[in-house]
Amino acid sequence: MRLRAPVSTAVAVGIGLLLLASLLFPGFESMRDRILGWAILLAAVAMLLGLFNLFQVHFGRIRRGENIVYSFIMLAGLLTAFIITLWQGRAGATANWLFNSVQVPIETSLMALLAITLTQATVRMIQQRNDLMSLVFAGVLFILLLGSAPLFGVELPIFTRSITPYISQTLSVGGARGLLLGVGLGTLLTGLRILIGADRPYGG
Amino acid sequence: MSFHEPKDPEENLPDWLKELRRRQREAEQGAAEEAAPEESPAEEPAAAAEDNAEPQETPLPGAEPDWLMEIRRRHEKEAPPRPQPPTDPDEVEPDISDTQPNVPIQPGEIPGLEDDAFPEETAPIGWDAEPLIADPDEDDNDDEEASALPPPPAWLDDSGASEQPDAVDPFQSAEQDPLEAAAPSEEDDIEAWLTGDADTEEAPAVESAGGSEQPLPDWLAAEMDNADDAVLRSESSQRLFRDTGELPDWLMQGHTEERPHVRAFEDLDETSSIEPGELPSWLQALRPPDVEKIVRPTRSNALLPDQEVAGPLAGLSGILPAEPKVVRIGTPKAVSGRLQVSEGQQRHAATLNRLVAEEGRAAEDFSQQVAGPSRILNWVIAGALLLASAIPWLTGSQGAARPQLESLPAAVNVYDAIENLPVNAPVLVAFDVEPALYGEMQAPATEVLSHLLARNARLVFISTQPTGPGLVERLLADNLAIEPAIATGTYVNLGYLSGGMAALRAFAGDPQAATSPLPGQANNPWDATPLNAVETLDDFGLVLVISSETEQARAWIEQTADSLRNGLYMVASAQVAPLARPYLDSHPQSLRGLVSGLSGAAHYQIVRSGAQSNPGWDAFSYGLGAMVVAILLGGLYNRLIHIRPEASSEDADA
Repeated sequence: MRLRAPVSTAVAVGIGLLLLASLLFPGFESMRDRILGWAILLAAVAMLLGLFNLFQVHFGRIRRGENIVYSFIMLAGLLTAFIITLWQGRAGATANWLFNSVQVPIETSLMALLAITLTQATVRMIQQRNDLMSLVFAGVLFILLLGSAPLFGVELPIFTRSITPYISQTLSVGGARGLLLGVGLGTLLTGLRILIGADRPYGG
Repeated sequence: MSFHEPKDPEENLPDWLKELRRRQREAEQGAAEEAAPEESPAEEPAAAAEDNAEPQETPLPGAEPDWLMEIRRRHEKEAPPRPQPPTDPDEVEPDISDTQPNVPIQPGEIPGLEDDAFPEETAPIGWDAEPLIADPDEDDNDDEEASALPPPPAWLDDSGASEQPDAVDPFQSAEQDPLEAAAPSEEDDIEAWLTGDADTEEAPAVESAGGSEQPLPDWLAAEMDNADDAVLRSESSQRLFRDTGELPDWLMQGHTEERPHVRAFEDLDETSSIEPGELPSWLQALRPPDVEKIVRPTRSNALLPDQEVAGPLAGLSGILPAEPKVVRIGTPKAVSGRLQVSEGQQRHAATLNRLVAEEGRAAEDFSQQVAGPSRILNWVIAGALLLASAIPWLTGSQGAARPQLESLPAAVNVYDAIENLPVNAPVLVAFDVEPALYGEMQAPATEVLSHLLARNARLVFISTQPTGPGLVERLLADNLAIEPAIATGTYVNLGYLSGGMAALRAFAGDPQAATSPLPGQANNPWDATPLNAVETLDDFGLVLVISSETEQARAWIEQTADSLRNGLYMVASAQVAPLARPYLDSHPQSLRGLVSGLSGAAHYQIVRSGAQSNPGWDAFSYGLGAMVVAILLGGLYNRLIHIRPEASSEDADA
């Protein structure tokens, strides 16, 4: 339908201008809260749609015979947790047991493995890469590691009290401010482009 | 042979061209009368060679300058008399060298020369050039044309066309033009032509029939008979054409004239005393065996480039073609795809092939030799980290130095804010923690929540992460179950707030509306004691965000900090601290206090109770030390492996 794109663009631009006006002028709070409520509801529906899409993809793989074991395990866990939570509620004993005994240990173990993997990657980086940026990365890493905590119980004051605080509280803050400023400007520009209809992420 | 002959060539010619042709014919006749009887046989090849070299520059006899005529007269006086001068000028073969090649010579224009006198491979100048190798299919298709034309001579049918249809002796073709061979004064050429016609290699000792006492051989006698038959057939066909009126007069006139080459055949047995040409033995040895298959253009069939072959401009060269050459589609030459490769070329190709194969093979990378032990290195690093972290738990030592208070001033702000809370004040705790970072967040979150519970705060939990509510319950059950408020369940868990930043904005504006229960739900938390007095976010005594992710921390700060008079406090992971610190240092402060990571937990513990007992901190200290040592030793070990072969190669070079 040819009118779909102009209509959707007009709706998006109009609602965006209304929300912007609600932040600048009083009297639009109730309307703003209602629209935000719609957005929150749509976000929840989007999560359900994502869940349904995940189920569909893996069910299709099982039908086609692709990675049957992994897809079957994933679908079994998904359906089990979903049904039990619906049945017992989010505070149910079985639902909490599944969460605390399966999901949390798995994700925590992966993070622990990440520490080992990063250590080995650092070793190999020192072995194979000899350029300037690698040396800078390795040097900063050593300084932060030596200043984060006392090594084997022994504190190195030059790192813990001087070099590491300077890097983490001055240099890194400067970089973080620049990053946040860039993010803010990018967000502002994205909002303006959507308000004038230059960007139509809704597919109009 | 097929050619399109106009009915009357003179009819469509312009007047200037007709005049030019008339002058040419007169000049040809005059030149034939003067030059043919006195021309020596030695001059004939030279003249032919000149014609082949520069045919277009041959002047007309009537247009010769005086100096050239003088030279010609001197030459004629010095030349020996011809053995058999022709008695009739009409029987003399016209010298093609004296004619202008650009002017087309029509059949019958040359006196005594008829179209049947041309064999297939010797088309007259100005006619359509046909391929020397006759196509049998084409011959079949041209039967009708052949019937309309005078029949070819018998000698061509019997010996030339039937015996050697596709092989012409190049030497014969170049030297023994039938036009020249038909001249009665050139016995050598006639003999060579005849011998060439009958395959001179197989019969090198052919002698002239009339020049010696030996009788003519059978094949030559048959040739002579055939020639006579051809003359008879030609005359009969001329009578037929004359009766039917199909041939024009000028052509009939040409046909009725006597043919000199026929007379040459007739005179062979009477006047010729030609000695057979003998090739020296060394020349015969050098002559390739299949030389007869090589086709070379003769003087008569070699048309000049870009010479018009039909129409009123036939014979003229240098004219614009009626159709471009690019549209003349012909059959491409059959090129043999078989490559003749010598032994040396094969050796070079093999060398190149070997070099290319070596290029495709990956060079031996010395780092690949250490890729095998990398799995061992993983196990060694994992074992070292686990062992180092377990040392404080195994030995019970807690002697690791604690962080300095002045190094983390933001944590003190959190402590002060909690200390200043009124009793039983509602405190909103946003618990946005991922399960992966639960271990890191557990320590600082426990310290701060424990402090809040000690101050009898009414905790209200909410999370923008789906896993947040479950982790809150887990944290309270594992670490704070001994606290009375937790044990009695006087806290509120609002659960998961879906919608991201939009939901946060809505929650900041109206917390009850954003988290209102479903209609019909029995327990409404906003009706209970800690929340019944809360209408806005600022009604909470303290808003504490416990976040392990940067995006969630930034969203809480940006969406809610402006609506909080008392500001926002945060417990974050170590990775969130660098990005949260700018909000901490801003004016006015969006973030009032920050406790980050294990060091922040240890620091807060020291600030709060002054306790020095912290097994987690010691484990962290030992594990960090093991990691630094592993990186140093591993890097040096691999570096030494890399240096070793280079040093050995340098030693070998030295």
